[in-house]
Amino acid sequence: MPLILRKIRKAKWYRSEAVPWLAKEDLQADALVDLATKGNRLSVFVVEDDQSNLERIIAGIAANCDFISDFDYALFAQEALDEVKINAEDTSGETPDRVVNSWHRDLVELSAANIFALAKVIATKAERKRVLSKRVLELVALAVASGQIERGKLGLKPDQIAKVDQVLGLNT
Amino acid sequence: MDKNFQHANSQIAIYRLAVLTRILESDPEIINSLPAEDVSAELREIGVDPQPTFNLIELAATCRVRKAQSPSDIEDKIRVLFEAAKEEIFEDGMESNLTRGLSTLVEQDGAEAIIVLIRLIEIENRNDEIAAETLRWAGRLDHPSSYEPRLSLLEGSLGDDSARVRDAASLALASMDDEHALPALRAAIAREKYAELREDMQQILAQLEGGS
Repeated sequence: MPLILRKIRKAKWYRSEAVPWLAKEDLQADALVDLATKGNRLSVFVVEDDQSNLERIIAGIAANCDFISDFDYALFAQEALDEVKINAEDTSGETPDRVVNSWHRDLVELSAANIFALAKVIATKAERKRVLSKRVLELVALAVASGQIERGKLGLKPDQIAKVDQVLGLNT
Repeated sequence: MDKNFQHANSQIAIYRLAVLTRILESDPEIINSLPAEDVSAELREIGVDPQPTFNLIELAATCRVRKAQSPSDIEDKIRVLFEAAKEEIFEDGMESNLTRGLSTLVEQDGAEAIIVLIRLIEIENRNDEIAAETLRWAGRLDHPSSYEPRLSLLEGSLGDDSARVRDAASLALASMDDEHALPALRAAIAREKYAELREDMQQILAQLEGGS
């Protein structure tokens, strides 16, 4: 069964053990910012069950940012969407990697109740993981080196592209 | 301080002043060269999206923002940036008006701005999200002369009461990738009670030790 990836910020999902004022089993309200919809849609990516395409997805998303940063994400089974009655629609992503874009989905027709349900999925059933910025930089550089991403299509700022070049040995 | 500045106590006025601070500090002569009706396009050119748009007359009437010369001036500017940042949503990998403003401040005032930041981040009623975003920015800033105070700020923030701030401090230290932070990070891991954050810190420790 494939997995669903949603970019988050892990610290917003800390529970009551780390946030003393928070009731047990409750979530910080800021966690919902990670599930902010546009047009009642939410952007996610489909990850193979063996996670073989995970790093390529991370590189693609990171390559479209202003600067290389840590990458926090939630990863959960696609069937969890069925359980909370959320539909997904094939829509192309906006990363500089065409293949990564094909793994993009929009969660559609989302109600407030759907978002709360999804938040509960992420809080209770998802793996919440982190890739540090140093590794993200390597992944982006690898994607460029392998031709998965054209250097000219990087969305990064010039000083960040210079860092990618440095990893690739292009400006040393 | 200019009376117009003092009068700016509504959120929108504070936001505008944050914008005006940036544009005037980047180019004080810009008032003379801007078109009379609308400065929105110029603001966008330097990466600021004015909300709502405003015009040159308003700009000239409101702005008497001077280059910071004392810690209290720097503090005022940081407070303005922090106030405006309450309306922002921060996303990993994406610049914000807050981080752009802080970078401009450090370019002008150097390490002194970091010293003021240290004080402001530790105040009681600060916003944890803004504090965390500030620390993440401090870790990736390319500004050698403020390196030591930034490192101190981040090491000190590993002991913050807020788990979110401790996480941001550790991430920022990962960005600096400086093994000098190892003792502070090890101490933070030893006292961290929240398992998820402790594991995240251990991931950073492995990087700084050269393991990843």
